[in-house]
Amino acid sequence: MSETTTERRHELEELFRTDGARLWRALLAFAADPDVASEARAEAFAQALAHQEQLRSAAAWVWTTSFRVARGILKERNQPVKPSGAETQYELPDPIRDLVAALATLPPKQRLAIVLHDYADRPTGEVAAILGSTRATVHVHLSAARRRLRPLLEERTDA
Amino acid sequence: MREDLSALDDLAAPDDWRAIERRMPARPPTESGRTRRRVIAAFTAIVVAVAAGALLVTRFDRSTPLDQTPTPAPSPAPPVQPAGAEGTLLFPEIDPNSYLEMQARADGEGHAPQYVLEPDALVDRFIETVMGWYPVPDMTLETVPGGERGETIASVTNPKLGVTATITLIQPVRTGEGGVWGVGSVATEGATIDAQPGQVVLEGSSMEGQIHMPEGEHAAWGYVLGDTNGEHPCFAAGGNTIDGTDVSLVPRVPSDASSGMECGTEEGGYLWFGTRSFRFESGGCGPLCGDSSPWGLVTIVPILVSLPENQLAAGLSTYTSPIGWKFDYPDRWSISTTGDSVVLSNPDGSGAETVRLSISQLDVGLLDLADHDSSFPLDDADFIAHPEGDRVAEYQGNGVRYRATLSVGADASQADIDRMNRVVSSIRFPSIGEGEDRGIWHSLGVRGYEAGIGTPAFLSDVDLGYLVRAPAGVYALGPNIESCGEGENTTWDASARQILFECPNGPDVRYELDGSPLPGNPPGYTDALYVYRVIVAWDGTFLVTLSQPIAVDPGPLWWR
Repeated sequence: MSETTTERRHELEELFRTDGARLWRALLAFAADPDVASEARAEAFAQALAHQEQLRSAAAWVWTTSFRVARGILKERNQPVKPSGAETQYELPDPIRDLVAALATLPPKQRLAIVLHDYADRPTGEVAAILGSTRATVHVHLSAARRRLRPLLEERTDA
Repeated sequence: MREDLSALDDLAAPDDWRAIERRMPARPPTESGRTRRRVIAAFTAIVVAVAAGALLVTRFDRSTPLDQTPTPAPSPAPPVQPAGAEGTLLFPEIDPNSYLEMQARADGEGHAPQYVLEPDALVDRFIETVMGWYPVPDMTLETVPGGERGETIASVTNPKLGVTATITLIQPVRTGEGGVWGVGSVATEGATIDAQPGQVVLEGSSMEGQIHMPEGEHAAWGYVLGDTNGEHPCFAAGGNTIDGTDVSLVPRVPSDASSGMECGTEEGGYLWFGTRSFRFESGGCGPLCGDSSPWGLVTIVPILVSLPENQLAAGLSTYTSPIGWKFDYPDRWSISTTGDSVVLSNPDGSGAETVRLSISQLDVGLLDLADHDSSFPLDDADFIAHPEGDRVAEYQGNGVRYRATLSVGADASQADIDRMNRVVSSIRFPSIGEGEDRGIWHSLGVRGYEAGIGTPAFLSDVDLGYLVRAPAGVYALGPNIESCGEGENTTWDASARQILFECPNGPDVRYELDGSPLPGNPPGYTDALYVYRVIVAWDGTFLVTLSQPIAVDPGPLWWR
């Protein structure tokens, strides 16, 4: 393995160490399924390792690819996000299960926008690229998602 | 919202890096990945073929020693636009057509700005308004011999900063006396971009640059494509702050299909980077859109950005509806329109093999429209099975509601189904520019409307009203609110949630958030304002209609 390839491999591992957990949590929040989150993240990093020479910005590429893979998995399985977030092998703590359930009530694009932007702090340009839309549309999705989510989260807090 | 979502940080994520390292990408790659794989496979095949061919030649061609390493062919020079063409101008305009207009005015009634007719005056203006260097230092001007467009180089040194700006001027329309001038590029030592003025650059490709930041300065890079004043809607800007010396400048432009713009297959713009003494929030428009605050190092290179994604694929045609929305469909497919409706079907299909899409406009009341347009592109998931066997989607674009019905025969081919799915995902709407009207809707644009308050806005060409962004919805109050005297201040009292006119010659005028006048209003301001419907279009544009006021109390939109 050339020195450059080794260096790039280390960079990707470093990216996994610094961003990997947040990425997985964001994928879980989007897909409401930890198996989908793990699979999408693994596939994105595996592809990044396989094509590392072509990557300009590994972080942006991995985030974009992992969410596209997750959407693809959900579509393939014809699997809408289960509002209850139930029937998973991974046991989600109650507060988080409620949060994921609240997110699951959002339409996919709103959920994706709010998870990527408000939780994962990804730039709106990157969110727009993942959604295949414009920054302005991302703001529309965010505005609608926050408006729908806020009362649900407040109910959760009151309870 | 961030605080609520941060609860996710309590989740322990699995650490499966070792498994990932051993994993081969098994799943069908994403679209970009698929393209990369094809490119990689093709490239690998070519390399193998070339290597095999080279070996064959070297084995059988005794005149070529086996150990001779072939010299790689030099990379072809990137294409460059001729001076004065699109992608070669920066200031005062980037669109060459603007210079044609200026020249016509200069040749006719002499109404072109004087500074575009004199190169030193143009440099003065540029240095002051773009670089923010004031007073303007002395300059030297030198004509480039043999320049086809009167190329002239101006050198201006800022004595305080010790920075010299080299500015290239050209006469894009006519050279010599009376020809208008434009700035073709600017560069300062210590900030270099590996791109020439007029270079044709592929969207999303990377240009490298280097910047040696003076101590105490902050740096950023950016790109701009098109402009907001052009006849066709095309504008994109982006960039970032810079840490370090090496920079990759990447102009990114969404496709026309996804953005509603009409950039076409190429559009002029520029790359820039620069430094200044205070922090940047981000990249973006740069010195050419600035407020004349001083810059240190500045390099700006005009480019022509190639946008192949906007090239319609071979074998496709575009349907454009009477009100401007579009989709792309296979050439041979059959399309028919009746009034507002359109029907598209596969050409060889009949009966059980038919794949058909029909789209019709729905006539719904103002209050039955969604507050926000639908999200585009549409896809299969937006269609719902209908009891009669078809699949139906209702969506909203630019404030108009549509129903799309998809009929797929039992024996329809997967290829035709896939083609129809691509047609559906190509349905797109144009952006309605600020101040434009489309049907019953008037566009208020996107920017400048702060959430939680009312902002004065023209609800039509002549009607001044307020766009009110309540926490739970948007509406407008108006229509025509009369001025209460020269020097009035039209504003919003955020604590009282009231429209406020601070009148210079009398008592203030106030309206409640539902448009009702306060008891103390002077005559002429005692009738209630009407409430008007506002929706947010697919691209974030606020659209208002004065076609009829809505009998809705906006009060609940403020309850949080």
